[in-house]
Amino acid sequence: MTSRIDPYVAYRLQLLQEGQTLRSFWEQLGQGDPEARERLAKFLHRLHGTSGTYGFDRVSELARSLQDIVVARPPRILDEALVEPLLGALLEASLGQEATEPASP
Amino acid sequence: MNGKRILYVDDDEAMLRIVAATLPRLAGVDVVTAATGTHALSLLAGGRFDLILLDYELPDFDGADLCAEIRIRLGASIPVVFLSGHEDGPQRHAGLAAGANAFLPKPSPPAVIAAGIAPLLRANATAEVLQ
Repeated sequence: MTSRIDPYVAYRLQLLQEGQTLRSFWEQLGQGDPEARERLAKFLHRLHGTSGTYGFDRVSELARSLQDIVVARPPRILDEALVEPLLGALLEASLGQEATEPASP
Repeated sequence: MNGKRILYVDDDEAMLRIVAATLPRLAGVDVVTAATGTHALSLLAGGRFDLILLDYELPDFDGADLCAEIRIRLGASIPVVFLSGHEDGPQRHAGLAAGANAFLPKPSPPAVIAAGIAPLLRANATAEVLQ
């Protein structure tokens, strides 16, 4: 189950993919997919927990905030601008530019 | 704490990697991982563990149901700890009611996870000595 790759390196690479997944889920939400909101909320819940465990605190906090918004608001008033801070934080974290640098294992 | 073995159950591969990579150093334990409740029960049937760390939402099990099943199969002596983002929700009550010893929030830094399980590992070791 475990690999010899540094888990922090592997997760940084994963964060790039998470940004693409987030954008895809967000578009599905805008297209009126009835299951899109729950799918997006679960994705953000997982991202909040895992990124925070790795020490990517900004990604984790923004994921939690966006999850709260997605759950609370009707999809039709979810503006594209709401997702941009998290997309930016994911990119910065994947490039190693997040302010909170996690300690290596 | 050396020589202790824990089972960590989570369907998030990245979580399995970070816990398996850090807890040996931070908590002095060997970490065996499972991505499903079914795999976890299979591992528990085939080997000895000193503590079980559980995510709450698994593909094949609700966390409280899995905890209850572990209690039926292994009794009350093995510590079960949830590591879940549902620490503020009804899942916390359900998990503890099902027999879990503690509920750690996710996210928690690996050092906090290690500190959270340490007292239970020590208590379990003491109980074994007294038996």
